[in-house]
Amino acid sequence: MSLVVEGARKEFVARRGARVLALDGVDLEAKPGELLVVVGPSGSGKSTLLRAVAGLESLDAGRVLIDDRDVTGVPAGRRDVALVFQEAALFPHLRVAANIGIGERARGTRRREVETRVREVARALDLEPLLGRMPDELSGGERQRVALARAMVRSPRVCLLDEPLASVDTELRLRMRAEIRAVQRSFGVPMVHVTHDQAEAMALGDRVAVMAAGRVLQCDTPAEVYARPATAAVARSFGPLPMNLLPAADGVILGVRPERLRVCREGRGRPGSVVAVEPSGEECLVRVLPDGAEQDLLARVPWADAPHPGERVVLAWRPEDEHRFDAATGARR
Amino acid sequence: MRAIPLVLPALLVLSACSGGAGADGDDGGGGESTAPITVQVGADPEEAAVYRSLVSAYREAGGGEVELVTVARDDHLTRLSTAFTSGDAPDVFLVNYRQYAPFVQRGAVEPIGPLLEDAGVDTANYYEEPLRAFTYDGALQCMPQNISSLVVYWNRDLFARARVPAPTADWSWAEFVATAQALTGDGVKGVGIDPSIVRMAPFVWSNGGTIVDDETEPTRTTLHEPDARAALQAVVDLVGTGATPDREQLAAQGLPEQFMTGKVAMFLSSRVEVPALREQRGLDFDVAALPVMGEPASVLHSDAYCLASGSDNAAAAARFVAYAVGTQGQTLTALAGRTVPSLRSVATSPAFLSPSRAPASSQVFLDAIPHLRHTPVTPAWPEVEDVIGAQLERAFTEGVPLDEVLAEIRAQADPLLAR
Amino acid sequence: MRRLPLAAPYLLGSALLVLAPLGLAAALAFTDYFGFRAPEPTGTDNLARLAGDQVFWAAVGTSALVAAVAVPLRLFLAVGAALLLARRRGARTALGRVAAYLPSVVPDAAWALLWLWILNPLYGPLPALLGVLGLPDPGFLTTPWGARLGLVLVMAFQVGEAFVVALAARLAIPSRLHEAVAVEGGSPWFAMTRVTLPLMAPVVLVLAVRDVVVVVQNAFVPALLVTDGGPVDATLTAPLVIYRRAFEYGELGYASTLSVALLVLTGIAAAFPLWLAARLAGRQRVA
Repeated sequence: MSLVVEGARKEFVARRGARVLALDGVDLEAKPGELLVVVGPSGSGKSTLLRAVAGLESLDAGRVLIDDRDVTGVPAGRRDVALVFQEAALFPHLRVAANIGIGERARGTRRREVETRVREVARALDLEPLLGRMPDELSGGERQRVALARAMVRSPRVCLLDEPLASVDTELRLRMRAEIRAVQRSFGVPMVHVTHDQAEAMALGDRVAVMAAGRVLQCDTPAEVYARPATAAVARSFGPLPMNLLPAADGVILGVRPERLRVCREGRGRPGSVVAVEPSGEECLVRVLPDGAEQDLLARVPWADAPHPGERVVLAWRPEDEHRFDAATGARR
Repeated sequence: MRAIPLVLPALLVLSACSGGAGADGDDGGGGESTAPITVQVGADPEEAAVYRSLVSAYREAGGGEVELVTVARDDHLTRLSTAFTSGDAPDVFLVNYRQYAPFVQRGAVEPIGPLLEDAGVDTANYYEEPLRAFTYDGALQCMPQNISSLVVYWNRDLFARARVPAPTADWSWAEFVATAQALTGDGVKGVGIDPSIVRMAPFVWSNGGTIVDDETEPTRTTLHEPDARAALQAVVDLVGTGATPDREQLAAQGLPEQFMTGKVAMFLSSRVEVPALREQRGLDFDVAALPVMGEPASVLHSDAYCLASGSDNAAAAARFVAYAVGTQGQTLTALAGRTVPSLRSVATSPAFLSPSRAPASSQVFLDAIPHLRHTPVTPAWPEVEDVIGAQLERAFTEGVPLDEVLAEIRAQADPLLAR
Repeated sequence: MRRLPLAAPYLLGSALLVLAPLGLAAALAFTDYFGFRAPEPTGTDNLARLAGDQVFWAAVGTSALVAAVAVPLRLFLAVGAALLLARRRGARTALGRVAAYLPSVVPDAAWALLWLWILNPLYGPLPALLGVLGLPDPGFLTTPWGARLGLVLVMAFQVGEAFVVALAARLAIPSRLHEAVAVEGGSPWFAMTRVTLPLMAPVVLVLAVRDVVVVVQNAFVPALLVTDGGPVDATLTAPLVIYRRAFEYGELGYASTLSVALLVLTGIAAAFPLWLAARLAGRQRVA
């Protein structure tokens, strides 16, 4: 079971006739049994991509293939994909069991059979005690689990998740991540998970597709994207903190991740003065303005080593931590 | 069933003509009265014009201010009821004898006799039949303006086209039916008759029957008795010949409108139609006596001016009524075609009889006077009329057997009379 | 207790405008009153008369019959229009919404007179259209059942308020619920019957209750102006009987008795949709 998107283009006509290019030639592949995370800021086109795969949005150009079948013109209901919405999208007038089974009922499966399947999925997701409840009697996490169960009950060819954890609190989000992973493993379905949260992308994805302005900038394992961002834009957008970029000679931009930038009282490196110090748990985020530069740089340092604002410091990094990008194209060199 | 009126009815007053507009400075005979009196009449637009001219003539004659309220005929009683209930009753109102009894019984009417005497009216100069109809509890309650009766309106052109001789004064029912059949055809129906007791009563009487057991104190209806039943059967048979408009035609347009537009050659009504028929261009019509089944008979149609019992201007109101039923007032309404004058001297004058304005044979109305009878004057009568009308409609247009309908009339109407 | 000051003007207003006249009518129901002299108490005479008043009960039957057809039809049209016109913005949708609301802007009397023409057996466009299409003409003004049908038609299209409420209820349903059904392969019929209508049900229910009252009371204007109760009392509805009793026969006391009786009956009828909904609600949650 796999998913392929080729050259997807989609343009919207916004208010007053302005055109917005939501998808600008997107290629993407989710391999069998893979959890692919599409990450990008809002407006990057990731939700449009997901809706186009589901069949809720038509494409101006390009193709969608599911298991090598071209489904570009196939209506949503016949693509055999499951979609988990942000905020679960449970039917408020139906009990949990009916919510999970509604897809089967919609497809005309017999009631008896639906009940059996709902029970199986509910057991797998630990939802059995909740089957008789109404949606407004569930917690946020329970609602998302019901939504997942609804997606899984049909054994779809592809499962799509549209920011399912966006409205869940932090603690629950961590638990749900593990849950989604577990569900994906146990059902073996390729999943495409859309999020704007790069930490979630890093934690969940077998691979990550980084999107911006309707394009996929890079698609690779999280470790690889982190270690070798394909463009300056990926470097700024993917990772716990945006990468520091410094203009250098010969049309090159140097990049150093804040985690790898060292702030020393003395020694070799670029001198500068501390602009701000911001505590962040065990560590501090320190902003330093190098002498003669216009842009300050961000560094993450342990509490113990934290300088004071206004202090003169020297910034240093190891050569292997240095990334180089083309100043004109932003591409990695 | 309400047919399409050419004039929209609605629950509205068609016009509320205020007589107070004229600052004529005329301060003649009636100088002592200052407050205007209110007069309400139920009238269609052409009739309303007649009453407006009456009111302005009264004002010009120095009679004082009159505020005339003209209401569509169908809404007249409703307006009166609400006006009385809200304490805003008109000082004078015009009402048919078939409908005034409830107002008298419930204390809404000030007996007009003594006040008219003060105003110089001598009832001996008036026809007796309307005065009898408006006498209740032994006193003259309201002053009749007219002595109209049911006649046959007929269209000269349609008669000529069908080569049918004009109706004669004493034509028989059989001749009437034959005439109606001869006129029928080519998109024209011979005759239109509303299914109501005022239309049927003269035939019942003519055939020797009665409509109630006792004309002064009725306790039950008698339409099922043989003579009455035979008369009604004759009308049902006439409907059966197809010489009357079918129910689609009746629902589409009212009988007067069908007559005006040449769709029926004859129809039965009282004098009230004349002002509107005169306005219809190209219509050449006349009136004829009702056909006779046994004895000649017709039914009184009469409206009278009543004084509201709570009026603050009773004397001024009586003066207006005296003028309206006096020689000047009666001449005016007679000239306009609206009334058959209740004042003998005007009824026999050219104002009413002149053949120069249609209908040429107005004498027919006067000839009917010796045979006039009236429907019972009793508070339950308006409702009894509605009950009988609804049932007769079943027999005329639904084809329900007459005996079934008559049984239903007894079942529904008799308890109303007995109450 | 804190809410009292806020609600007080409303309660005072409804006491003055609704409860006081209602109480007065209830009191008059036990009198003979003709509008000219003071009402005379007659004890329970009017109730005895009411029990045996065949005309009134026949009219109640007619009203119930008309409501039984008109209320579902009106709800169907209002909800149907709301479903059709909820989809997308645009000039056509806007036009459709205006068209759905327009009949309710026309005054009742003008609307009734318009229909008097539309239904006219000889000159009206509707019988003419039926004739052209070769369909049977039920005789809208001429036969008892045709006239009842005509009465229903006159009332069927004045559903602007219900349409607006139903449209708001439809638009309040999040679009992702319908997308979820679409992705799951549910047909439009499935989406409408299992999702849209059940979610609109509480609002439709309120509309149904309101509509029972509206139809029973509003049946008056078209019954008076279009059919005048005919032919042969086929469209003599309860409000028309009360109107005649009060204003043509002048019996305001007994008319009050009839009004109060109709009020009670309408209340019972309006409770019917609530009962129906309670029965349906138990079933649909699991389906």
